[in-house]
Amino acid sequence: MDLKAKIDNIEFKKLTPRALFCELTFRCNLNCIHCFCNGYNPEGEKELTFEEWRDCIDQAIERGVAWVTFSGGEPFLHPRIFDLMLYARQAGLSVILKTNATLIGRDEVRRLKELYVRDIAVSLYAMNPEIHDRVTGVSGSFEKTMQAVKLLREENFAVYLTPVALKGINVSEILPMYEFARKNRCSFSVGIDLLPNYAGLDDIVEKLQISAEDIKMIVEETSKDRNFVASEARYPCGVSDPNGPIHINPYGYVFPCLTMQVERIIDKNDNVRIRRLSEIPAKSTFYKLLPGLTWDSFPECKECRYRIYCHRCFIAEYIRTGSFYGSPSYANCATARFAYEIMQERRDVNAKKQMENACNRN
Amino acid sequence: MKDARIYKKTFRSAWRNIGEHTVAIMLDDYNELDELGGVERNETVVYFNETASAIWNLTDGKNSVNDIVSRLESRFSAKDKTLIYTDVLNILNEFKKLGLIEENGSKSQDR
Repeated sequence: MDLKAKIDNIEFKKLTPRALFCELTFRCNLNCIHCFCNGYNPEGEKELTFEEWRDCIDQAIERGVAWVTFSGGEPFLHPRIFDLMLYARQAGLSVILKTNATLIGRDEVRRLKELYVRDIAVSLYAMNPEIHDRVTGVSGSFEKTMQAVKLLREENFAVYLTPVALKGINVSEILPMYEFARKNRCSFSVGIDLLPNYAGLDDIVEKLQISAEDIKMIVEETSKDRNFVASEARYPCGVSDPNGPIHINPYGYVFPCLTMQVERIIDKNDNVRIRRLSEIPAKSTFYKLLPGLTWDSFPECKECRYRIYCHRCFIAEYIRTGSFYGSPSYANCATARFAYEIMQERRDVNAKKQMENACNRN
Repeated sequence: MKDARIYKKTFRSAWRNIGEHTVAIMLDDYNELDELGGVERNETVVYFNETASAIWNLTDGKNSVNDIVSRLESRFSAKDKTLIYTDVLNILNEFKKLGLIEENGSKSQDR
């Protein structure tokens, strides 16, 4: 067995989580209409201190994680964000950021460069400044975000633009954003399936979830020159993957996924202030339930041919229906179906071309 | 064979210890973005064997080369100190070539 195979084997057997997500704060300098966490703190709890976050990073490294994502809220509102990034980098972790980028100027870009920060996901909602600012609720936010994207790309950072499609607000802006991303060599990924907010209410989803027709348009138009990657994974989502990630929220609660932190399903003991990270998977009800939920666990998905392109979120189904086995959202199903159809059409065209070429040769 | 040089890791890689081994990924190899707007990741991944991994973990900006040799002697019960010293230097040079470490001064008592 070569060294790589040997190492992969050790990792697989130990069920090592690969990623740590630190939601440093739920505070934000923007006020996005679709946000599921803005300022969420129903019990007035204290955010984890710098020392507590540092301990979380140490514990996660003991568990074997390879990279850490700092997000929020707005992570740059955390007064010691750079100290935390430095700590993580010195400990060998790769660092990823999710930010609205409005607080990133030249000095921040220089410091991010020094730390070799790997990827930066930026929330952009429109190329029209008025529409973007309408989504964020803060006038002038578009200019700041765009300025930061420009600075980051000048320094060759891998920038991911991550808009969310919102009914009646920015659907017509998705294509201009896609063109901007292509021109500026940024990655681009549209959020289509809205998350219920942390209070477990669905009003955001009902008001802003786009239609199947819009989903089709977005999937088609933003995939003309790239392919969808089919997944044969046993697990619908990394949450049920035994090597899946660890999420820690600003108050120390630990989840396999950020969508789980809804009041009614929080296990109050799954907190780094109460237990060590290494104890939580064994003791938590949710962690006990989740590993092992494969596609075959879901009757509606078991035989579905579209599932190779599906990103079913069964935590969202739990919030919506009270069961992990509830029906998936139409946004999930529609996205998977359109991706399948597009790829099927491309396969047919390619097969036809090959056939024609073969005939011409003969 | 006193070698007082101290090396420290650069930020160029991210790494993880797995068992007795280490896997390192070069973080500046990914910045080639393809024309479709996606990220083309041509990451260089380096796998360290047990000895290289031990040296990597001892390269902390505080241990001198001499310290590393001494620690390895006790760990691997090696009798030939010259051989270990040569191995350590070779591996540190490989790390240096890859941009994974850089000199960080020297230890006065080791001179």
